[in-house]
Amino acid sequence: MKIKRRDFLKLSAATGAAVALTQGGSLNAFAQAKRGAIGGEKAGKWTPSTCQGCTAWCPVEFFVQDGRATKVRGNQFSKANNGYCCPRGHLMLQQTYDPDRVLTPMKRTNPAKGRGIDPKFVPITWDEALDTIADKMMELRKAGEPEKLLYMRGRYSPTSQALLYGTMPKIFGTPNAMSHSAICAEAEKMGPGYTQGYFGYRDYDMAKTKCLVVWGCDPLSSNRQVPNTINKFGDIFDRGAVIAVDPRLSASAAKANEWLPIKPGTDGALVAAIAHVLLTEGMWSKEFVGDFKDGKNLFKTGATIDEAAFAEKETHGIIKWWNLELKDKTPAWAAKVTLIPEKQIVSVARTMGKAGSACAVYMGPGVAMTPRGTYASMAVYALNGILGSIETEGGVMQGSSAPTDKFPSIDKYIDDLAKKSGKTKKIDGRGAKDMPAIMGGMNKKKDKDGKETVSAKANVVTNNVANGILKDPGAIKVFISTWSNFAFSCTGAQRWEKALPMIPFFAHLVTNASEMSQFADIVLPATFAPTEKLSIITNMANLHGHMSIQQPVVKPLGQAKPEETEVMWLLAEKLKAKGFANLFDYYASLEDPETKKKPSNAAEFIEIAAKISSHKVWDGKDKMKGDQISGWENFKARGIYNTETYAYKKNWGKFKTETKKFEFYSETLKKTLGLFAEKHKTTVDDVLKSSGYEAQGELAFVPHYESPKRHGDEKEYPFTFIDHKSRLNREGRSQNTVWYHEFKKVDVGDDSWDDVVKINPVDGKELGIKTGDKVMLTSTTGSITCTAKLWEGVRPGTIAKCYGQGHWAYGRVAAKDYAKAIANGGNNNELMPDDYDRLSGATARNGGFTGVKIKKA
Amino acid sequence: MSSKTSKKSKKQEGASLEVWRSDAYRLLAACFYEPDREMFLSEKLTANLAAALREAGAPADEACRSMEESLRQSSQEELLVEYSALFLGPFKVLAVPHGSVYLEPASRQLMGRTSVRVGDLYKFAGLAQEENEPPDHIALELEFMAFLSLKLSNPEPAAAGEDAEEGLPPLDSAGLRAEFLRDLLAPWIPPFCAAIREHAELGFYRGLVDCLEGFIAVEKAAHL
Repeated sequence: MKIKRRDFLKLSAATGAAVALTQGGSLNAFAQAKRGAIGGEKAGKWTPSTCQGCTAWCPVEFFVQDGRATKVRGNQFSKANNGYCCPRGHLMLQQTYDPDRVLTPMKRTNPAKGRGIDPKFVPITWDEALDTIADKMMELRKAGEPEKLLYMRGRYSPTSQALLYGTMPKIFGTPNAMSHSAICAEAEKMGPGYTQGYFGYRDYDMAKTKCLVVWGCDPLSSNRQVPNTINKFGDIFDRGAVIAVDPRLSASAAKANEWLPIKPGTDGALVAAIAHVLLTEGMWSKEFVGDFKDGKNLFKTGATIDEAAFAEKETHGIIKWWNLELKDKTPAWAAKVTLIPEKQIVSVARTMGKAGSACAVYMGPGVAMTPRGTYASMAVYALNGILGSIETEGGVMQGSSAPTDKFPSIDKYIDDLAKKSGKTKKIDGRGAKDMPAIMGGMNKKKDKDGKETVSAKANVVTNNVANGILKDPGAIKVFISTWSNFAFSCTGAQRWEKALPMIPFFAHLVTNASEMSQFADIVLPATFAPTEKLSIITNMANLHGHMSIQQPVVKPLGQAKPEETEVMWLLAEKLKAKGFANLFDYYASLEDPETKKKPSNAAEFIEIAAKISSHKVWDGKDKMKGDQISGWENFKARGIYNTETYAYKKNWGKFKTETKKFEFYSETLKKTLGLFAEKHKTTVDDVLKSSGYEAQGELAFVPHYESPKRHGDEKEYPFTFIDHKSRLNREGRSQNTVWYHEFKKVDVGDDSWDDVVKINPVDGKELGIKTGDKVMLTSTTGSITCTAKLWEGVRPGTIAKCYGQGHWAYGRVAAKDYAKAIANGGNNNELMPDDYDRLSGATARNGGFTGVKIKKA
Repeated sequence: MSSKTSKKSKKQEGASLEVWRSDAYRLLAACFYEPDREMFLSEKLTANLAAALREAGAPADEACRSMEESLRQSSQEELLVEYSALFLGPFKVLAVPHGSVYLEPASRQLMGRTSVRVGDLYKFAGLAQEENEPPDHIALELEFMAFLSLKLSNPEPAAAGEDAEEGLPPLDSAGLRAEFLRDLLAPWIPPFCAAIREHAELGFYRGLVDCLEGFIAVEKAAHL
């Protein structure tokens, strides 16, 4: 806030009080206006928007009274959440109105960067901030090195991201546009991807399922459809059973019929034994998998089977899988590996088999986000294949999507320099022999003559960006990042603290300054998306896809601006003024689908973008099979379009695999890895070995057990660390709200206003540690301090701690003492080293890959 | 001296006191904006503030002198750095300049119920807020008090309802000022000033806190 006129500082005697009063000369923040009434409580209105606190992206509504959001609920028309939001949704109010939010653009005045070093930020105008950023960008263009611009996105809108992430770097000329997705749950997609050809998150028919197996996730707390799970979970017990496979007693496990506290990282072994029981006891789906030609079950422990003896229906390679992996993997064997009793493995397998195609195996990141996670992900997912619960009543579905429209092609705005520099090597090391990152399978391209070329895809390796910068400090000169905090949210977080100061210029667009902003040259206030940003969000749950609006239900606080639209428009204007008009020309070419009008300012650009993304569901030109919406205004008021209900078995016979079948023997993975090895002029075995996998030969193409990788030997670091998520985590952004801390006890085993590590009482006794003691946890990469909690919800030898706390640079609630960089609790990511499931490029944070020692602090 | 003259002079005296109060509020408000060293010095901000406070019955010459000294000794950047650390963050805002955070400690948020009430009273008094801030920012609240005091200094009040929505009661500036001071401004001055005192390094802000606290105490005694 600036003083606009010098008169404001003068004594009235000098200006004349009467003059001042009548002409408003003494006012700075106000103007005189017609007087307004004040009554009692104002009438409020529920206004739709979308929560993005977890990956469910729930359609919600805010109760707005007199310009202030006061309550939250699910969108009453939503089929995905049945009109409810989960506990974390309510925290949006405190996030919107967080007194530590960034309210004005700021620049650093202290050039020294580091933890505990005050950047000495001072306010600047948006104009100055964008001018500076544009100048830095133009220096790169002038030097012919636009590839030295790095853009990284944290949370984004699935539609308007295309205007920043999908556009700005390409038109500018850098290949270094990096998504956060590989620290999210990308390895989870490898299972359905390389078996079923679906590299995406799944949906579940929870209203009909007779047996829900939650494996490596806690869907009552997190993972993509929390309100729907809360809504449906209770009734599953009436129809059958809930089984939870998790090394920690999660909220779901606490309510489940069976809890299997598996030894971390041994999921593949448990799968093999369950599959062994399902096959030897004849409980596979005859409809989906097929049967032995003579009807006699030849799946006998230890017996190799002739592939010709079995006639498969919707699947490919069941006998190969049996012969290569399953035939000797008995429950007795698995009991030793997984620490789950043989009897329980058999009984659980039978419960699953009995539910058959109405048994949904709900696989989560705990299975997959491990150093060899691809194969565990394939294994757990393949159980759905054996049970035949793929797209069946009570089973597992592929995603449903609402029909968004894309923005026009940017091709003609990419100049020669951008074309050339856009092809340079990316900073994240994807596609190296030891980092295949083949999440997504293959790229197939046809040239002009129709000749097809196929290559392995290379997916982002988010967390490896820090290593890239450390290896080649001159590679990135300008860094822009939005809604991110990689110095906190990535494992091996300390590496980011070393890498970030190496970048000469960094602009951070965020709602709250955080550990990463500690290294920023400019911090810009982003809108808090669910309450202040206009965009279109899509997702699915409960067998429906949906498109929901995200809109400013209240006026953005301070000077916050939406980063993907308005800020980009303003930046493009600056670049144009400095001689590079391509980005602006592209943005200005967008056309309102109704009026055909092109944007002449940022506000119009924002609305036109949202209309382009969503018009199919409301403009009446296409016949919609789901909700009927009469126009843009109707869509904004209603806030949501729901698709028709998912049709069972709709992809049977046309899965996007090489064989069009569900592949227990993945021809798709074989071909992709083959192409990848060929590119590196080596063998698949060499690629796997370089990337840290155990499998060689044919085993590499079937789901199988790989032993858990562990950093820190068991003698020095005797405890295996389990990281988990909170019901109240809003992707790590809610720790500055008091409600987060007040209600923290909703996480099983956790305490309010504390950050606890859960230790089995047997271990506690041995270590002489009691509940409430301060303890220091140390791994091969670092130490953190937190409070001990003796708890039976982890087995001896394992310790569990929720992710989210341990902020040393954040607001007054999240960080204990910002000035001294003292954290409140500990950040798990300082304990866990950076390691990867290299086939997907995903960051490891599960599977017991971190050994820890415990000492009283 | 006739009684008529005496009455008139008392009225004038009262009016003049209100002008000084208004000035004190306004100049205190100015100090909570982004500091502009050159403008503050050339407009003699601290001297004016000292004069206004003295005439308004809350002398703070010593504090104003230390503010002046600090202004002279500090660079524009030093002032801005301190201002930002205290009131803007961007990490931990050391002395949140918004009332709701103190008046509604359980929820500790901006735009609380009290912020809405503050905004309502601005509208009721005939002010439209132009700064995009929650209405209970200290600078805005002080400016509002300045506005009301100035109104009270005016011997010829506007006719009731003249510039207002239909059916609105006439503006009782004195009552409104007392209510605003009692319920919405004075209660958070002590914790707010304590936070500034704990963290401020520059004499400008340390002196400002003394001025603000002293003046609000005098105002409370005068109006409540």
